[in-house]
Amino acid sequence: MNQAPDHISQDMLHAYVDGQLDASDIELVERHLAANPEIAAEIADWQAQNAALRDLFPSPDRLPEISALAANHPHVPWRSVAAAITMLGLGLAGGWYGHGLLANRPQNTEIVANLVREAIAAHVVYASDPVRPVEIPAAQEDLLVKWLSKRLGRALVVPDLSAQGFKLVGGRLLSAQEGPAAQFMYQNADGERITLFAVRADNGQMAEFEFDSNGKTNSFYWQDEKLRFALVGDLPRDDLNKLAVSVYRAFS
Amino acid sequence: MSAYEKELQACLPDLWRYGYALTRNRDTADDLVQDCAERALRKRRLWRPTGPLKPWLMKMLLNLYRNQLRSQSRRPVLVELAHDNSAAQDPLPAKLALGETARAIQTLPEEQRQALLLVVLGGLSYKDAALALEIPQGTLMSRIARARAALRSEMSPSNPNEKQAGS
Repeated sequence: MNQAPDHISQDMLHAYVDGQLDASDIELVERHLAANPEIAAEIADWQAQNAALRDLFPSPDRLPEISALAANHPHVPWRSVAAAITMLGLGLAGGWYGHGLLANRPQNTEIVANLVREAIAAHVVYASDPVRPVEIPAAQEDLLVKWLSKRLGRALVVPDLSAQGFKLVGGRLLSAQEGPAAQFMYQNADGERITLFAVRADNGQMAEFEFDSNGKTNSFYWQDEKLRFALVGDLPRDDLNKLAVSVYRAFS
Repeated sequence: MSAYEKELQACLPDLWRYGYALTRNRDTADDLVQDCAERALRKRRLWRPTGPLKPWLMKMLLNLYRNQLRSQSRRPVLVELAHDNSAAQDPLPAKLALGETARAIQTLPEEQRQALLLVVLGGLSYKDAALALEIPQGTLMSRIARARAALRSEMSPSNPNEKQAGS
């Protein structure tokens, strides 16, 4: 298209189409369009796109009522997700139950499903991010730990996973359903990344390990008196299992 | 109803519309909105976002959707084939154009689709949309620009000049 004059930017043209321009700028853009039919044709197409999208996806004819939701109906969304999580208690490492994990306590499936889902989502988003996978890099580990501990209200540590070949990349603060969440990211020599996701636990209960496989991505979930954890990675179950045990020991 | 609940309720139509456009399935949109609203109500006691509620809700919906995309990537995806009758009264060319748009929007890269739909159907300002997508506003604008250029060339393949102009 023709070069727009300096005072008409591409962004202004988009803002014009999206109704995000103030009156004086609208006038400027319209004068510009009147003088440039080719650009005007493009803008007309954008407007037609918007109109078509609004026609295709009209407003809903029914909606959940907030008052009904507030009454806390036992609606269980994502049943399929919850059902997909296999509840496998793993009595693997020696002295496992000696650490006080309760083997038979029924867990709150929905909480676990939510946390695992959030951990996996965060893993997917950030582990594959080549530019900014973490907010605070491993070089500032002290700052990272202090900051995340403060935000979660729990003393955190960075588990040493070098025995399994994983080095800390860094970490970030995330928002989970249960509140602030810490994510630590590790990477091995092959560039494989795993993430440890932790949120504060307030019920003082402990829970055993649960394994969840989502095709390629595996995860372990567990909980101690202070924190809920999920360890996520595209690793074989046994490898991730060993890492989970190291993390668990670092926090106990 | 508290002020917070009122604000939340007011956001639901656009949330639903965005969810519907992303998933092309009314039931899935219902679930997304329901889940979002429940979370927002539960979280209220713990934490309240500073600033407007809507971008925060949209971000939550996006997270739910992205996660669902992931878990569905190995399952067949249910897509509503028959759209409702909103276009039925329109003359044929208009219906054809709608069908074309529906197809063209599916060919966009996911990140462009999410950005364009968030602004057009989610009703967010550029600033809020960038916030919800957790990207800089400049990135948002370039995604929207690329989406529009792609839609345009997708929908007028008979005109090579247009394609040239879009690149």
